[in-house]
Amino acid sequence: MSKVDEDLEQTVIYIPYDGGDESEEDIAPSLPSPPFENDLENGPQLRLGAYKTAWTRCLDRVKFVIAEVYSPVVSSVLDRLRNIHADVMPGLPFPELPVITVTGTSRIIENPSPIQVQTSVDLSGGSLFLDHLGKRLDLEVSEDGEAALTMVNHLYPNDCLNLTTAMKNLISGFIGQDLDALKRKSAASLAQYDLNILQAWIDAIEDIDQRPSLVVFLHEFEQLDKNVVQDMFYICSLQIPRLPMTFILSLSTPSSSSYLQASLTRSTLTLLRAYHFLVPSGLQVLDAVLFKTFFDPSFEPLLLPGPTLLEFIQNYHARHNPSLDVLLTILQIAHTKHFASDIFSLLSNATPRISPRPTPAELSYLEALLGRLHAPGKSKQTTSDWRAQSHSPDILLQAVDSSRESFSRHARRTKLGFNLVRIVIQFLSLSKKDKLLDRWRGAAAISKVLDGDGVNGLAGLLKKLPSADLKVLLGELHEYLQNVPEEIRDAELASRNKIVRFRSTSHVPVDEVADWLEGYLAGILQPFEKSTPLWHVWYTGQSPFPSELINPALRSSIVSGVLFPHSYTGQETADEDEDLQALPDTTILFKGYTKAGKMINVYDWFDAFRVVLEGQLQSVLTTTATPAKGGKGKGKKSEPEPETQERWRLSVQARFVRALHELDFVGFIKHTSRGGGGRKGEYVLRTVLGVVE
Amino acid sequence: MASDHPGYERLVDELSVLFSARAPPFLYVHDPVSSRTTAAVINRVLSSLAHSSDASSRVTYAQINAVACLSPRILYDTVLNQLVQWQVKWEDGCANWGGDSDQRWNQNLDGFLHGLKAVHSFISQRHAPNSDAKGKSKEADADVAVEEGQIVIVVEHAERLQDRMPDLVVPLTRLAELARLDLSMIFVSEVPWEEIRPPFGGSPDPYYVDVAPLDRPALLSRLESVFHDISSLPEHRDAVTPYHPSLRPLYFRFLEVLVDSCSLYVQDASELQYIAAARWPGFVQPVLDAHRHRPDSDVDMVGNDSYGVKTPTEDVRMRLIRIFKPTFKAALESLYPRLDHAASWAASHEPEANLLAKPASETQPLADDGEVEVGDGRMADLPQMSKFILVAAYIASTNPHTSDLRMFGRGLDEKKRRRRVNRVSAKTGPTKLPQRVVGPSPFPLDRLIAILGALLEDNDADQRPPAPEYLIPGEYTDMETSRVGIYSTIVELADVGLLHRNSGAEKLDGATFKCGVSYDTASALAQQLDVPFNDLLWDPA
Repeated sequence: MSKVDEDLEQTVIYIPYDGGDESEEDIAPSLPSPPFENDLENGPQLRLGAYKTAWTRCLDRVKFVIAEVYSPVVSSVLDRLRNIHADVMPGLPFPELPVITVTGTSRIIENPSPIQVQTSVDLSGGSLFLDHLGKRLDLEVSEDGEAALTMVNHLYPNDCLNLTTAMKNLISGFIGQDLDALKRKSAASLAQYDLNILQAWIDAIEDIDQRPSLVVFLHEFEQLDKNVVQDMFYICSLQIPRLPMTFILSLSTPSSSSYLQASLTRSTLTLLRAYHFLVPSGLQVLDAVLFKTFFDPSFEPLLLPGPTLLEFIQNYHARHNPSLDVLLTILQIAHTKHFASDIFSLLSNATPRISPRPTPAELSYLEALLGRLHAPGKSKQTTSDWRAQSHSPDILLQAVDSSRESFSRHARRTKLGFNLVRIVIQFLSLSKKDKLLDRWRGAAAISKVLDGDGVNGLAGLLKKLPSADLKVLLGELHEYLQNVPEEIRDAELASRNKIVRFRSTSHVPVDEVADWLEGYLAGILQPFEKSTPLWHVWYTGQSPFPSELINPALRSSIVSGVLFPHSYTGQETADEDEDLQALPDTTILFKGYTKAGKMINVYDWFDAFRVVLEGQLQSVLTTTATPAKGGKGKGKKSEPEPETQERWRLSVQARFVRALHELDFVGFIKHTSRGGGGRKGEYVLRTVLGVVE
Repeated sequence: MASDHPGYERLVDELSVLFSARAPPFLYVHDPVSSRTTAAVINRVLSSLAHSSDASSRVTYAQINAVACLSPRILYDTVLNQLVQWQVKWEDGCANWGGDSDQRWNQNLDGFLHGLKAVHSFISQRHAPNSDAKGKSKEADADVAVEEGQIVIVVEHAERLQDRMPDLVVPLTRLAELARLDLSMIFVSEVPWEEIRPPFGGSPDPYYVDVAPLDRPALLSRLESVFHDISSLPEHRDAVTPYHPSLRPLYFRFLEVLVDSCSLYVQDASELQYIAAARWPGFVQPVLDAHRHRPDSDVDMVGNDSYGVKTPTEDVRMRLIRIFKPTFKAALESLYPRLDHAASWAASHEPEANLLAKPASETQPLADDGEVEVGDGRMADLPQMSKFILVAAYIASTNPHTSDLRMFGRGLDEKKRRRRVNRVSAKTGPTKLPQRVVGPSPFPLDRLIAILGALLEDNDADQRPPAPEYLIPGEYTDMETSRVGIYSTIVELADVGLLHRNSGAEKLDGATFKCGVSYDTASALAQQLDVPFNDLLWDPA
């Protein structure tokens, strides 16, 4: 309980299920994934480990790329911040409170607790941009050593429920622990929410150092109570000449200035000097992240997304939610799904050691692996390999290692091809707008080059280019090839020489170059599936993304869950149209619901329910002489006594009420009021209409 | 003293006269235009009174702001500390002034009254240590009080006391009686006293002081005094800056034109000051450029620039005013509503370099950049579904709900059978304003979802990723509109103000919304989505 007490301020408390009294031995956490055939005994753990390695590598890379994308804006915000108090226009009637708005930080609800933002490993849920900004600020602070020139304070909507708490948090965020020292004499000194405390504190350090500038982050500005914020701005602006404060507002609205105009009064706006910054977003950023994470020859992720996944990401980004947080979530789910669904995925980063004398489970795993490595219909040469590998696990596992090696070699070359295609496409789209180019625009489209008709038609487009432009393009390709890692550069020596030769000619032979380039690219771009039989360990290929996990349709899945409980929970059902009597009570009741009109008479409903249950009872009585299961059908005897009949009626009523309440909880029913047309609650209203069975 | 505050002579005179004798215990200063300036003037007057040589009219005063005093405790602390000029020190734990006995006065009103008494005796000791030493007895207190002057408490934004600490309004207005001190309370507010007067005659009637809006000469001299203040700073005296003293005549002419073109719309001196501060550097830029690029002969042997800027000729003035006059109104239009702040406006409206070097015939008046556009920002970057929702919301907010079936209903043959609006010729009776002019009307969430479904079915069905599992026509759209993403997007849009919640945020059942985007934005979004927007409006433009 003590753990719970500490967290009383939280809005949601997670109380872990401790198993109750019945199953104390089951407390140890177990992986819930359904058992696979041929799995290793510790397969789930190994796959979890492999997942962690792969996802961490991917996440770190994405974070790195995002930081790179954000860094120009972060720098300009910091530049602004540096001289924001010195850079004041002369002759203004009143000093203004500098405010920086950062727009487009995050579209999903940010992490509400500041502690969690600092400690959480992954960034999903936090506002990435502000994180970077905050980190850079912290970095500057620490670099400056003892003379802390910038002090940062973060305020979240929960910190600003009313003006008193807002001011208190504003002050204590800067003063921090020192505030405790004040508490001793609290009665005789200033209130903790009095800005004069902060003033006194600043004045006290001013003697020693230069005056630090105070930066306040207001996260999720849209969620803040505007009256509180306006008063806070007013109070701070009164002190601004002596208390150098800056507010940084994080907004997710598309237009920051018009949002401020609409949400703050003019009298507040006159106090502010607002600078607006836009966080880069949109398709370019998405493409940059995807390309630099998955299609950069110098970086090797452990899982490459296939065109289906990339297409889903792009589609979701364009249609539903362009936030990078969502991108991370999708990638993480894709990783989880990949490592949970294939028993061989544990081989992605390292091969587990298997003793020369394998256990039966290991043996069946190895057999399955062998089967996967040697799909039927292979040439004779592989049969000798098969023979060797089937004799010794070690040789088999070596073959796995070598396929990993060959996949990564293959992937590196294909990625190089992707990047070259991208350069060509970007160059072509600069000079002219052609519908044909859209075939290759974006990460998903480029990854589709692998299956499908590849780069066919590219030569035709290139041939339309003037010779001089083509020379520039060749220059760009050459420059790119010069900067790739050494091993790839050496492998592409021939083509580099060819490019150099083409460039050195005074008049580039357009047709020849175009044909050569198309052929060259087509040669590089080989499907991942061809690299090794084990390609699906490192490549998601065409497997679809479980989009229901990220954007579920709640109502229809609840309805289908209630209507078809067995197929919903994944149980095998014998026949198509299930016997109504074999279904749970709630479903029986809901079937009646779907047949009713807008309003349901509760008594009629109950009658229909009772009829079904009686049929259930009869069938139990007739088919089996053994007692009915579950204690539901109490009347076992063929000739029910009046007493048992009474009990049966009661139990039917109880089951009806229980099922009705279940539907009520889910929200299928709206009760009529007592005065509602004199019906006095005999009827209930349907809330879901038009249910198709 | 009155001459220091142009435009406020009456206020200054009145206060000086009042405080030369005993001021009334409760004054109410009402300035509907610029209470902040008024409060600053009062502060200056009181401060000069506090240091006046005439001991009989000397006052001890405290000036507080009702917004900043968010609780009674802060109010008590601030008043008492200011009266005794106590500086709160971090080193001693931000302790308040505690008098001789180190007491606390901020617990409640009673404590505050005792605090005021303690302040009073503290002041009388300070002012007349000799008389105390002579052993003046307590009965002479009243005389001493006259000698040492009044205690004055000024409350800015007094209207905020009403909602922040309503219980305190009456005691504050009656503070003199309650504390039995020679005390004067001054409320400064933008609202008239009638608006905040406590009920049942709880407060005494104040002595009213009304501040009239400034007239043109007063505005001019107020604005000009700012230039004087800045130019007397050392950094402006010797360098080539917009606030060089010799530019003062030009500044005055600039102000005249500025005030003439803006004072019709804005009376507040500080707002005009704001506009002037933003426009002046650009206005004077050509003069400074000309000064910097003047022939070498003007520079003395050492290359010293200390001759300073020459006062421009009348000819130059006329030319500058002709060039810049149209931008004054533009400045007003974007700066008064703070669509932009002064520094950034000034930077974006800088004139080209060396404007005066050009022949006069080539310099055209700078164009008034017309209507100030509040940009749509990144509306185009919104995800497609948000755009659809906004378009649907606009339609739901403007079309009457009875028209939905006719606009979006479809026949059994699965073909669009949208009936066009049959515009009936004008009926008799009062003209009905089109909904577009009236403003958005609220709509329930279900209606929004239904219209969204109709829009998606007509305009989006081809672009969706294929889903062979949906067999019934319209089932796919139905699934799409019932997804969690749609609902969370609606909530997000409501959070960022593109939709307005009409019902409380807590209300789950039957939430209603209003559209928060304009016709132009909605039609731009519809265009991006390829939705025939005007065909879907019941009453198109």
